Amino acid sequence: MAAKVLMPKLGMSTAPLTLVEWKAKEGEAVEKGSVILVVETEKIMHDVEAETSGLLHILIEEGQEVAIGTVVGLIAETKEELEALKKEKPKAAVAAAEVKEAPPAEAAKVEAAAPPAAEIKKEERILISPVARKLAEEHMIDLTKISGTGPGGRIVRKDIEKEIEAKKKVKVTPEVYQGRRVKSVIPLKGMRKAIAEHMHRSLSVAAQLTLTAEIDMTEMVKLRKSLVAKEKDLGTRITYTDLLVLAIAQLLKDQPIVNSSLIDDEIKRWESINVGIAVALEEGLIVPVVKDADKKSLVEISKTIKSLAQKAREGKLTPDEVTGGTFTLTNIGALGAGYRFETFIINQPESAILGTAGITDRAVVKDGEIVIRPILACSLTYDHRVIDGAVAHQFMTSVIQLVENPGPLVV
Amino acid sequence: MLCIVYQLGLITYSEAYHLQRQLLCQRVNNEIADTLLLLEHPPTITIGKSGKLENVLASQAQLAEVGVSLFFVDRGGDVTYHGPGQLVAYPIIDLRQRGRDVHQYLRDLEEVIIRTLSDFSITACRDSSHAGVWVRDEEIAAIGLRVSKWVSMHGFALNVNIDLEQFSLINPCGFSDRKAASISSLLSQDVSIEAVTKKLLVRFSEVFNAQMEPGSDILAGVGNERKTAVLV
Repeated sequence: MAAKVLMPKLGMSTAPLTLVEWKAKEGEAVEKGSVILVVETEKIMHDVEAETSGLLHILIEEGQEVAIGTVVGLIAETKEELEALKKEKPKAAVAAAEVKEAPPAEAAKVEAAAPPAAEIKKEERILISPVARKLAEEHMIDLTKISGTGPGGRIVRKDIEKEIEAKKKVKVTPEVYQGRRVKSVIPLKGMRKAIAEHMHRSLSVAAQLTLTAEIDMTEMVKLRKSLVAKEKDLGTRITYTDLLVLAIAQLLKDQPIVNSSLIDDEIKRWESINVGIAVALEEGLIVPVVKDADKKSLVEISKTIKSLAQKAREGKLTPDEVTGGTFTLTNIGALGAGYRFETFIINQPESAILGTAGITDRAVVKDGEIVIRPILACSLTYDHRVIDGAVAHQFMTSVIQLVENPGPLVV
Repeated sequence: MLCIVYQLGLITYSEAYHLQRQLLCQRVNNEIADTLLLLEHPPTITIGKSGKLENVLASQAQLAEVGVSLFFVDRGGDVTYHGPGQLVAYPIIDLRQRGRDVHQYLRDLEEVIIRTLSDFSITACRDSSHAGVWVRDEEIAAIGLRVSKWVSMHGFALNVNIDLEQFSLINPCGFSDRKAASISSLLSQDVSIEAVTKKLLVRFSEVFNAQMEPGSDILAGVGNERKTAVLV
């Protein structure tokens, strides 16, 4: 059954409305909820939406005054139904529909139609074809900027199209904000907003300072190579991040003040050692947490991190997986080598964050000789409200010692 | 009900139009409260859906010479002239929450204008056959609306201290025998847009039973200098 398109009732008034414009053509597919018809009463234009999806069959043409409740069109479910409806139509209406189905002919006809009487009265009157007028309205074209090329200076469709093209080109010139050209605008919401708020809050609440160090990775590189060779047996490919998390988790056990938070006038030293791992995403970054890292084996840590990183990229992390951290590791090694210094920002309410760069061969002095060694630059940002300089140095020294001599890590 | 007010100052027709469309979408989705834009346009003639080009009495060259833009627009009504000194109000109002009656809405807008004018000791009235507000047979405020998904856009233009000479470019609302009036012309003294805005906001609040509040920064696209909102 075809659905009816009715002239709507727009309030208490029962006066007839003018059918101003069909927004879809005869036979065109319309979507439920889309505007198919514009009607006018007094000085109000009202959009009428399709109540169902289907193919439009027009019964009453534009420009007529129609009583409320009149069926002005039908929406057929199928092509067959549409064809059947067309045959039902009275002859006069069919003729009108046929004209509508051939828009080029219609347009030409209208444009060539006799000029309105007004032209005779005033030679300089602005003239425009109905098709051009519709286009000008849709694209909000200033008519005073158009020179009509039709008969008698009449503005025709192609004049408007030309202006639309020109307007598009002008649009390319960017918006200017206080002397700068704007390329695009990213709304501050979602993850971006969360990052902006967290980072700024962290810097405003904590007394942050950064300690940097260089670690000789000769032994670590060897260790990782041997572990990667055993990838099949281990069931996971061990990364430097895995090894660093393992090392940090062990060291935090010995230095609980680094694994603590200042909350409401109290420093809470955490029993849990939950290491957050910063994961870079296209739209920002997120820090999933390896819970109880000190109680996990290297393989368990490796598998946990891989699973968390995968979920982060798929946007499937649960709130539980991104909260409860007590310390954060951010390894930017994958982003390129060569960086030596960066002041990372503490992930609140933690008290420290260790950032590590890529491993780079550097000339260093060992036993009185200049040698080439794989060097890892790292930075520890800590909150001086909780951790004093001496403690931070102690912690960093222990990191250097363990990472340079990782034997005890994997016994 | 809450109504957020933005006073945008002088803003081009197309800029204000696109802003209205954006707000209308947001209002339909209930992302924002009812909103009232108050502004002035640079010299512009607009012709509504049922308007006739014959009611523009100047040639293209004449319009270009005096710097008047000409647009066909999707509101109801015929030809209207906008220019500095005319207070334009575009309410983006959800009529679903106001009885779904577009006629009543139009009468309410007229009522706001009539009461505002009474604050300046001007007795204005309706014309039963033509929406708008009249002082004797002179048009002082033009109305043209569009309603989409029961949310309104476009609105009314109230002549405050606009140059009435410019109305000779058109037949206001399609009438060849009616002239335009302004508050200043009727009182023979200069009345400012600001003074009228103040009264209008009170009357709008009264007629629509709305609590008027200044908006903050949702008009990011409109430019910083225009964000200044006005408190009642």
